[in-house]
Amino acid sequence: MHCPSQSDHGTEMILDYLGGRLGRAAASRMERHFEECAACQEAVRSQQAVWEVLDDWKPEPVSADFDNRLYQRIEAEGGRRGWWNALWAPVLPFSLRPVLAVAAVCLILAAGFLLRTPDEAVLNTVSTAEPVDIDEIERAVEDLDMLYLMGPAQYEEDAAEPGPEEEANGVVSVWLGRKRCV
Amino acid sequence: MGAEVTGPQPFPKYGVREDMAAGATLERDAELMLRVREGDAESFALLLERHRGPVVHFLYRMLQNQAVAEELAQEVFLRVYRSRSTYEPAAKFTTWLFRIATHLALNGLRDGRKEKGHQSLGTDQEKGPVLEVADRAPSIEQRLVLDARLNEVRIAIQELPDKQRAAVLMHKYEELDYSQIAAVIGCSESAVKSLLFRAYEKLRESLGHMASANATRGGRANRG
Repeated sequence: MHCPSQSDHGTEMILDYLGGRLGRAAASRMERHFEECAACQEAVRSQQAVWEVLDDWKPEPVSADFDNRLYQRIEAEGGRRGWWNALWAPVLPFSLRPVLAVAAVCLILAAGFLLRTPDEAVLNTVSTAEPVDIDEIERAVEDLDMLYLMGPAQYEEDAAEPGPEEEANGVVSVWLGRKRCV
Repeated sequence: MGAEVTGPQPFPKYGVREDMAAGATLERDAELMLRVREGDAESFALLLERHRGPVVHFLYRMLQNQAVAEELAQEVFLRVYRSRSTYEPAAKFTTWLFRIATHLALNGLRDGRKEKGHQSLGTDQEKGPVLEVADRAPSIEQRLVLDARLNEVRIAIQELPDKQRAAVLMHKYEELDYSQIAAVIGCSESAVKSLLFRAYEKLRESLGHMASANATRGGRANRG
């Protein structure tokens, strides 16, 4: 066989040999080669020695309550998700639930868009309305005041000339001022 | 020709892989996980029983803090449980498991969670070796020597870059193959080999003197 120390894969072969990752035949071939090759023996010895030092580092035992703590966490998580699963489990298989979630999000977005559109229409309408003339409003208010002061009877006498009594109480002056432009 | 190899069987515990056993284990894990997907809680308990130790030990060696390692291991199994309904046995179960564990460990290291943990490296050293050798009742001197040795091993591992450390721990202690380590770390097999060779080279440099001391001690013990 080719000498591992002369090969690009030498370290890999030695690691595989020491790690017990070679087949029986390949391991035997390696061992036969080691008996004849000082370089490989040295490489194997140094790597083996490091591995033995690493073997000294034993892990600590796992805590006795490890499983209990884990099951408690699983249970707690199950409780939090229980209502959601209980809601959908009879209706949908698990694989379709993401599809349902996506559909729900799309529906909400669409609803939001549709509900928002009329508001925009109103806003547009308002924004395109002609500006209001303040003077015109004042005149309209004055007219209303005048009609209120005149009362329904005054309308009936609309075409008649004001009498002296009416002129005296000032009501007619307003009426004259508006209608006759005197 | 060449130097003589000592002993009748030069490397008795190395060389041969038990392929069939490994294959059976793989199938068993996938089968159990599929049963978990169907809602079988007992299968989850079996998976936990089989992989709890390796996951906690891997995380402990990565983070060198037992409390944080157990906390992250809980998170690993919680994620496995959460993902049960979407599990497909496309990859090896252990590859998937260690991918989650490595991801959490690397994030933990990055976030400085290790520093946040109250147990320092020194505290763990005191706990581990004492428990380990208590049955053999070592003398105080032996205990101190052992503590010092383990401290050196820990420091040597800790000084490796994160990915090299993860690769070495998975290769040496968890016996994952190159393709699995590549899938876990997210790189090519050749990149994994390169990571491993560099890491072992550093370890040979930093721990070589201990290896020599080991050999001397072993020789003395054999003669004794």
